[in-house]
Amino acid sequence: MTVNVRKAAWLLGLVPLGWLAVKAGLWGLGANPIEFIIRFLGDWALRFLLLCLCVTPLLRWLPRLAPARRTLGLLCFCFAASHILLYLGLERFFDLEELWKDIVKRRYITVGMLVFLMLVPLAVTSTNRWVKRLGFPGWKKLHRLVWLIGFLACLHFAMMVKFYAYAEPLFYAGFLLVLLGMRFRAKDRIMPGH
Amino acid sequence: MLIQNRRELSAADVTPKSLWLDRRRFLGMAAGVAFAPAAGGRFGLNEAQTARKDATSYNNFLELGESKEAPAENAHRFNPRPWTVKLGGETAKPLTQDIEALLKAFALEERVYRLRCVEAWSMVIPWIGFPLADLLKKAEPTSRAKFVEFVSLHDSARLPGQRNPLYPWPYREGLRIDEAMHPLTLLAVGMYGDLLPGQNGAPIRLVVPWKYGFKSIKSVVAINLVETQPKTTWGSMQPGEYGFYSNVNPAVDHPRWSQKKERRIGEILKRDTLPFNGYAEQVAQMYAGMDLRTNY
Ligand code: HEM
Repeated sequence: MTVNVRKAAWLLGLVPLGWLAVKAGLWGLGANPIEFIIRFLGDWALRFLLLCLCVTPLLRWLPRLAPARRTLGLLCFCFAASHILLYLGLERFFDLEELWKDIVKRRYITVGMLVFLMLVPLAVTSTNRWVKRLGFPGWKKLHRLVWLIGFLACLHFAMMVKFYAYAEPLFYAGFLLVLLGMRFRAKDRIMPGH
Repeated sequence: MLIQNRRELSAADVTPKSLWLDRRRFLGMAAGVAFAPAAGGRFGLNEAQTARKDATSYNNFLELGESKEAPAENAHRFNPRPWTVKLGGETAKPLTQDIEALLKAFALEERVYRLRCVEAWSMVIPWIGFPLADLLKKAEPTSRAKFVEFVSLHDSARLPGQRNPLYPWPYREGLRIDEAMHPLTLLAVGMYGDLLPGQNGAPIRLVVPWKYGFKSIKSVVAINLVETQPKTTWGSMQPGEYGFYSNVNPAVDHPRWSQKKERRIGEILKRDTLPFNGYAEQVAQMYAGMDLRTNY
């Protein structure tokens, strides 16, 4: 059963890629397909992160979903990594000097890089072995970084959009806030009076 | 040519019947009657032209929507008739002209220009129009005319993007008088042998090929000769990002985009950006002695 939930979650990762292929084949990706794909991958990295964070509150009713959480987190990482690889390859030609200039000068890239640097340890420590090695409380503490990652990813998004076109990144940030609020309420329930 | 992609609107979709007839007149010109085709012209350019479909479906025109695709999708809501252009300010003979009269008043010619957007993409577009200088000379600028201010249509019924209260509508741009009088500076009324579609700034727009695209204001209704440097829309909203000159310059980066390279629409890898967008020979002398790093 566990395996199936996990497999289903991985298959979910294929849905956006399938959609991208269909769109490319039937309607094309517009006048600037590279930009389209880079943005598409960034969008889905953020969306999988949010989906991943939706799992915990759902566990009350659907405890079987638990294994999907790790997979969705890893999907976020995979989409983010492809997002950055394409950017590096097609926008910066793997020119590390140019990349460094970008990171220093363009603040939305600085933020994106920070987000990615924080995603890496979470992806690495996603295995059961690492949970054991760090001990559950320590592992949990480390993985709280996900909230910072989420908000900074929204910031990265908001910083690259045109002047005041903040609706979409704000929507995602609001969604994150709601999820975070639910965590605090859940804590209160477990530890009344605290 | 008329019925292409579903999403791409022909002039017939966006204009009333009367203009539609006029459009046929324009196409008659396109056959070689009244505008000089660009081939081998004064500013001939041996670079592949951007596909018409791309140039008319990937646009920055906030007045018709925020995304690149939105302007083409919303262009049917923008009827560029009736239309008058007012030319005033420091002139001996201010004038107000209907667009139909303007179309007939000047010898139209085709100019194939590079267009370089500040967002690090570029196109090669065959415009049809006349030098701005021809119009300005008619109005006889006075000696106090040091700059030229351009204003777009302000009408949120026709340009629904102007309902967004966060921008100071209407869009404004400006040039120094010598830039405005430069023979490269064009008032375009058409492209690809056709009238300008709404998303590309119908019915009349500025084209200044050595500056970033946002300087080439669309859908112009007023041109004012002024004594002091006019305020521009992006320049007043984000002065650190958009300077008054905004000459294409690979050596000066925009905070969000490196300007060293550009993606020519239709190509995968980026190519090097040229100083003044490749028009240095024609325009660099206008900026002799100026520090282009501070006057970005
Ligand atoms: C070194 C790290 C990163 C770099 C260099 C980077 C670069 C970029 C670039 C170049 C764009 C598009 C800008 C444009 O087309 O004008 C973008 C957009 C975006 N990125 Fe990143 N990014 C990084 C990390 C991330 C991460 C880790 C995430 C998510 C978890 C992310 C999510 C997004 C989103 C949501 C967008 C907006 C897409 C849209 O416009 O719909 N990025 N990023």
